[in-house]
Order: sequence, then C-alpha cells, then structure tokens
Amino acid sequence: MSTSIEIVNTILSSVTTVDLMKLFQKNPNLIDTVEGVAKRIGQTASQVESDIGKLVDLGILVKIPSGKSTVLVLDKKRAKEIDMKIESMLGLEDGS
Amino acid sequence: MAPEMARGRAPTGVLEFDAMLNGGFMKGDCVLVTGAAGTGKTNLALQFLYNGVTKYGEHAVYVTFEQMPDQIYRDAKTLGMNLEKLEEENRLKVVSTSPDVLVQNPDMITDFSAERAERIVIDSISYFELSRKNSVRDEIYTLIRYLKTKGATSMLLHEAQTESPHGFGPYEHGLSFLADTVVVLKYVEIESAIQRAVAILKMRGSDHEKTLRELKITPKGIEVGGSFDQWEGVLSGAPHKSFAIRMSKAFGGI
Repeated sequence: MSTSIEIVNTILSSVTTVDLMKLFQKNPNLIDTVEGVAKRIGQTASQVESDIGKLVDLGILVKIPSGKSTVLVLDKKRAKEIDMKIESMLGLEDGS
Repeated sequence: MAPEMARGRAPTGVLEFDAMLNGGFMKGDCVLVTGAAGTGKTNLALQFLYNGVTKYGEHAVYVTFEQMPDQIYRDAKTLGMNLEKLEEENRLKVVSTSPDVLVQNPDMITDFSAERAERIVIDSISYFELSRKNSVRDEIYTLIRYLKTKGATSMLLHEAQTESPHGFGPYEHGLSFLADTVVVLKYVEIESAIQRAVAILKMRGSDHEKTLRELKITPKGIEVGGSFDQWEGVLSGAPHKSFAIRMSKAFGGI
C-alpha cells in the first residue's frame, strides 16, 4: 500500500500524469481506449502508456478488456480515497 | 404535480414541440435530430433528458464524443437544468467516450447500477464519420439496433453540413431510413434576420405536424413558435413571400 507521499510523488512525477488526473477528475465517467485518452490530452498512445501504467498501479485507473482493445475508466471510490489522503496530508503540512 | 405522459409516448417536455409530435416521441424509437451548429440540437437533447428524469421519472444517459461534462453542465445550467444534482442522485449519467468504444461496449455506457436508461442521447453521430475501421452506416445501424433492443428512446444528434443539398443532410449514409423519426433544425433568413426553424420530416407509426415552425432558444429553454405560413421555400433556405401574400400586396391588401 502506497503512502500519501508516494502517491503524490507518483502523480506529480510527470506533466502527463497530472494531465491525466485532471482529465479524469473533470470527466469522471470517461470511458475510452488508451489511444482515445491520449488524444484528449494532445498526445499519442505510446507517449502516455507508462504514465497510465502508474495510475493503474495506484488503482486510480482501471483497465477493462473491450473487444480487441482495452478501455480505461476511473475508479471513483479509489480516486476519492486518494483525494482525501492528499487533502489530509496538505492539511498536516499547513498546520506544521 | 408531474404532467401526465401519454401512453406509449416519450414527451420532450417542450409543450408546443410535443404537440407537433402528437404527444411526444414514440417510446423506444430512435430519433435523428439533424441541423447545423447552433440550431438548437444540444438544447433540445438536454431538455428531452432533463424533463424525462424530472417530470417523467425516467433514467437518462448523455453520451458525448467531444464536449467535456463540465461544458455540458454549464450549458444546461444556463437553461435552468442542474445535471450534476441528477448525476449525484444516480438518475442521469453524462459519459464521455469515443464511437468505437460505444459500439463495442454499449452496456458499460448505458446501464446504471440497478436501472436501465430509458432515454439516451448520442452527441453526435457525425463522429462516426471519423472512424476509419468500418462503414459509418454499419456502425450506426449496429448502434440503433442495440438501442432498440434495450427499449430506450434514443436521440442521435447529427451535424448537418451547410453545403448539403437542400441545406440539411439526413439522407447521408441512409440515416433518415435507419431512424424512426427525423427532426430537422435549421437557420432561415426572413427579411434579413436569421431565425431558427424546426420541422418533423418523418415519424414512423404516428401522425405528426407537417408545417415548419419557428424555434426560439430562451433562458427557459426551447420554445416553438408559429409557422412560416406567409413564406414559401423556407426549408430550401431561400424563402419568399407566398404567392397569395404577394398578390394581396399588389392589389393594396395587407
């Protein structure tokens, strides 16, 4: 289980990861292929693959087989948990 | 108190428009709404879904291929519709996806956890034209068959190309044949002013109004006005005063 600091470090590890987080936060019912998700943030599938992998490892994004390809969806419950972890971490830092 | 829903009908909740439809769309039908950008397709679709949920207790899904949900929420809010609240209550879902994913996973997109969607809007099927894998007609046909099997009343929005013959293009890819009902929205120029108009070209299994009516987008949503009965050739985009009016004017009438 990742700690809050590890989660934040992973999310902030690249501009693409942050862009992906913003995309799914604004768009919690987004269901699309890696290629489709990449297009939505102005990139290609190969450019975003490893960053998507990081968010899948954190449990924020879920890969679901779909015909010949795979689609990505947001795990809303997990995303909320992580939001709360980050908020509580920031709250502790504010108080220190 | 919620207005009564005519048996076998799926009213839009826009009273004058429902009157044109003889009480609303036929339940379970596939409706094609075609028109150029800005003619009111999205507004009509939002009212169809929002009123379906709030007035008639149905579940609804808005599938968008381009717009982000926050844009749709904002547009709906300007018309007094709070879609976010309905999403929180699990009565409506705004889903972003791509045409390929929709065709391969329609259940994932249109089903709720416990209820099935009774009203579905696809915005817009013009995005299928960007698909390179299969023929547009095949993909749209597959989608329509799916929606009909589910028993949902669906509304497919179609971006008409202004250069299409007659100024509207529901005949592209045989769309007008595939859909049960075809609604055309278009701009018309009347005495140097741009107005919007609505017409029902086809409604399988039901009578419907045949006249072209004025369509207004107000802060309260869509309103349907009077017919263009003093004008001819409105649908072609080049209206002129009808022969009777010209004759009347020529001989000193009003």
